[in-house]
Amino acid sequence: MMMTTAAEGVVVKFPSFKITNTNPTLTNRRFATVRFGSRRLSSSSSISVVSSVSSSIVNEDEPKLGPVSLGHSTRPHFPILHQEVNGSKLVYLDNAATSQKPTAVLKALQNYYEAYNSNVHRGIHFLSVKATNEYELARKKVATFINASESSEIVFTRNATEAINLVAYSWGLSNLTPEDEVILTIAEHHSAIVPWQVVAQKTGAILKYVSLTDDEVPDTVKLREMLSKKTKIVVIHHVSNMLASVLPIGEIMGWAHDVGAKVLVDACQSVPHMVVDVQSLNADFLVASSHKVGLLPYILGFCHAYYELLSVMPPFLGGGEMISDVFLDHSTYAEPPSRFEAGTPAIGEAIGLGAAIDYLSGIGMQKIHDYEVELSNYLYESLLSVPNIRIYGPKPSRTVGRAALCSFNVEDIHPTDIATFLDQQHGVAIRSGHHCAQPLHRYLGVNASARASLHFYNTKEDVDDFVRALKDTVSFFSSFK
Amino acid sequence: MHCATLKTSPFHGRFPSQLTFPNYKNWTQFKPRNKTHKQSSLNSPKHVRISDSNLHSSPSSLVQNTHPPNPNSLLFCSSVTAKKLRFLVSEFKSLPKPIDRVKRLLHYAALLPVFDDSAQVESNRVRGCTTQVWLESRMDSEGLMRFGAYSDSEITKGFCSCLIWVLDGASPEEVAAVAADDLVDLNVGISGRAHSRVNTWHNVLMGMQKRTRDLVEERERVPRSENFPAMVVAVDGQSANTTYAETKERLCSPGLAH
Repeated sequence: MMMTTAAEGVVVKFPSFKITNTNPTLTNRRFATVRFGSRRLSSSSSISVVSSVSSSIVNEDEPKLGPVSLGHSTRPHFPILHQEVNGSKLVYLDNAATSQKPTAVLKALQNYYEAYNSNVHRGIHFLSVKATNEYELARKKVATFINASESSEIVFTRNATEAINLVAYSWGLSNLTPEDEVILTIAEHHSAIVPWQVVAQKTGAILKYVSLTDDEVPDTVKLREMLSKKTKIVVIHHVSNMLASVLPIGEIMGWAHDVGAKVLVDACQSVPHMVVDVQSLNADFLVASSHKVGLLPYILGFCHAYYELLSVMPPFLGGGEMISDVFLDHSTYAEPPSRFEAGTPAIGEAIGLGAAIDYLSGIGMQKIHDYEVELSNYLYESLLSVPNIRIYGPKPSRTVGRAALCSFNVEDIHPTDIATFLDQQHGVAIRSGHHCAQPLHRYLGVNASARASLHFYNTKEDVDDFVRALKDTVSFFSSFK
Repeated sequence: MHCATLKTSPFHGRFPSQLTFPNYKNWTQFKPRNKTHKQSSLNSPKHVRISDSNLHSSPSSLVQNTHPPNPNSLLFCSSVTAKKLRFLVSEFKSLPKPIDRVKRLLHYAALLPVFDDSAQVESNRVRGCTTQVWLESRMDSEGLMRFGAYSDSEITKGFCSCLIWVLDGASPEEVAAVAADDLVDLNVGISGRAHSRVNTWHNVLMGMQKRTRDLVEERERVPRSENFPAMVVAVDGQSANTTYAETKERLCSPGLAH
């Protein structure tokens, strides 16, 4: 029907290539800690970037990435990964948007709905008591998972966005006054920016934003300089969902507390991938979402805050469960965490969250983190072999680690075109767009980027498949120019 | 108008005719200024040569969506726009491989008419999550819709090119009658029913329809004056002592929280 385009014969499926080791300096590299204290890398501390990365990394010499890797051993637990998409084996690399769920979580959800589905904290019958026990057990599991001292410090919310709104509306509206300052970074997720814009409009507080260093990491020196007695709260991510940078939350916490400011940590991209200890971090508020935080069901997030802080905060939403007594003209409120959990909660999701934490704990978060660091470096270095690619965020080195994701652009090809072709032709799922970080994209001078994000069930072969498909994609679009 | 449009279409003009289509029954209530012209166009498709083959049979091997056909779909109507839409759907359904559909879109992207840089302004932006799209809309002296579009994404430009080929020169009723469901079988990326912020087909189509509604409303509002009283009472207690146009402008402007 249509004329054959000149490019039709150009698309080539790249043959799989054998990777051989020519650069032993890149093997067996470990990052014992993920700290970003050094803002500017000296050349000696940076990994030399090799363009022929495909020949610089060796499967055989990277035992963590080999055939008995954590990814290989856990893949069977995730039934969704074993399917074809558009005629190709699914390669799922959109884990920063949401992660897949293991059979253990799916079974916990199924068991809840088949065996004891009931409302919590209301009925005295068997099913309700069972559901209440399991729901509260999930809260205890979350508390243990992040090392909170009390399960009553865990407030279940609909998602991390609601958790941030809870802090903004409850704590922010009660504590911010005109000329008070809220410090954020330009790399925050929209859900961490917009609620504070709303609260600032209502209270007259001022929002101040920290920009990036030359290494494309939020500038913690500038952040420290911005802090003053006017600062009432610092709203900051732990791991950037675009830059893959990791902020030194412990240090920031100390600086903020020195001026009497609270700190809200958006831990959505860290809790699923590393050990997060809220007592060690000493964060006033820490929020995360269950679905992207690793294997956990949708419609659930949580907010951790010290009980003393929660107990003086007013309710965010009104309704059942959050009250003590209701009169026609006023109500008294329940103690935390119930005060902040109005209405029937997402019971099944909380129970699924408990099962997910059991699963993750069975593997060990440190083990997950160590594996992801290796896989992340492999992804970064492999991507450098793609022509005309620009990867955002810091270069990995012995002192600078990256989270397991890469946001990038390829010259003259829109990231959505890349994502579409990868999906349609190769069954590779990545994200394109602004990743809910438009201010950051504007700062970097782009409207959008592509992002590949990993989880521990991904393998070296997933990365290889993705990079091979990406090269094919670049070749395809280049042939149209 | 339709004949001229077809001459410039990217579809290489292979349009056999002699097909009988069901009567068009689902017009919305827009009233084009030049009704005579519209009816003439719609009732005289003799010069239009669009193939209807394979449109009503849907070989399962070529169709990936399993939704039942919508009996109210424009696809079952007899207008030139409907024929062009059917032709477009038929063309993409005949391409079982995703890469071929992508190639076809890129081909159409190359045929998208030049879009003036000066039209790449914020008021012409089509809101979407992943690409930037600008859509320019106007109503010509015949009361027909004219569209231009541009995107920073090649595939999105292909989407725009297809939609413009179908709807540029169509009457407001025809523009309004296209449903997102009609685009399901185009099947590149997210299509048709998925009312997602990343569904470019949907976003651009909705943009065309909204601007068409605004232009029709604007055209029909002028003769009878904008100065009828507002029936809207705002939450801040403002009474209906302003005009409808003033109140609508004030309450419906983006960024105003009321």
